[in-house]
Amino acid sequence: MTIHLIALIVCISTSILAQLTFKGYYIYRKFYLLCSAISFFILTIPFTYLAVRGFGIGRVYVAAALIYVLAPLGARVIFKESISQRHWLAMILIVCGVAIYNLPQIPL
Amino acid sequence: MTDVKPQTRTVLLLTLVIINIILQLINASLIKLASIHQDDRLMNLMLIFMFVMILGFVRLMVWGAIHKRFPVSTAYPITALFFPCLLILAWLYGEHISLIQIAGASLVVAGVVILLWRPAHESLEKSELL
Repeated sequence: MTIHLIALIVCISTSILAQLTFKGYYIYRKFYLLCSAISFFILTIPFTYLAVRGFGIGRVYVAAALIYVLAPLGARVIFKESISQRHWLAMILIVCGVAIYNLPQIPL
Repeated sequence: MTDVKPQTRTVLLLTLVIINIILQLINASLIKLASIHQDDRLMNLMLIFMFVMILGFVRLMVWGAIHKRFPVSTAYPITALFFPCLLILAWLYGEHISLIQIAGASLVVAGVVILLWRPAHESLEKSELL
């Protein structure tokens, strides 16, 4: 289970880095940013596979929803994009949704 | 993009995101299939990875078109519309989907709806142009 959890963390991290470096490429037009984005993107595939082996696509891809929270946060820090109060509320809901999805099963 | 109407920009954004979601679902299916047949030859696994990579590059090109025109903080969260489709896909593959999973996915979708909702006084042109 541990290796699958590590794989999940790595696949989420590399996805965020791929998004941010790709955005950076479109702003700064630096070739190394494009190469970094492609590398991060390629790295995501085997780690997603490893995570899916342990958790299934439902849990892995829902956990990957954290990217929707972390990528805008990264964009705010790096590219100075603004995040409104509404965006914050939405991101809190997404985090709660991911947490609830992964709650242990309660017999009805 | 300054001469394009806000409605046209919204349609363009949604079209690009829907294409992205379909490609993402195909990729998720391929990875799931690979994990089901994990005892198969390494060659098969590599072929699936390669196909996922090719589809991923197509997604990257679509993302390029999105990034060129819209900020990450607006465009990226919209792809959370992928989750209701994912729930169905996971169920089709025999994964356990209960009320807890539906509630969790619904909260994610609610977050997306709030992200998409834009008050009338907010100008799409001013806030979204890079």
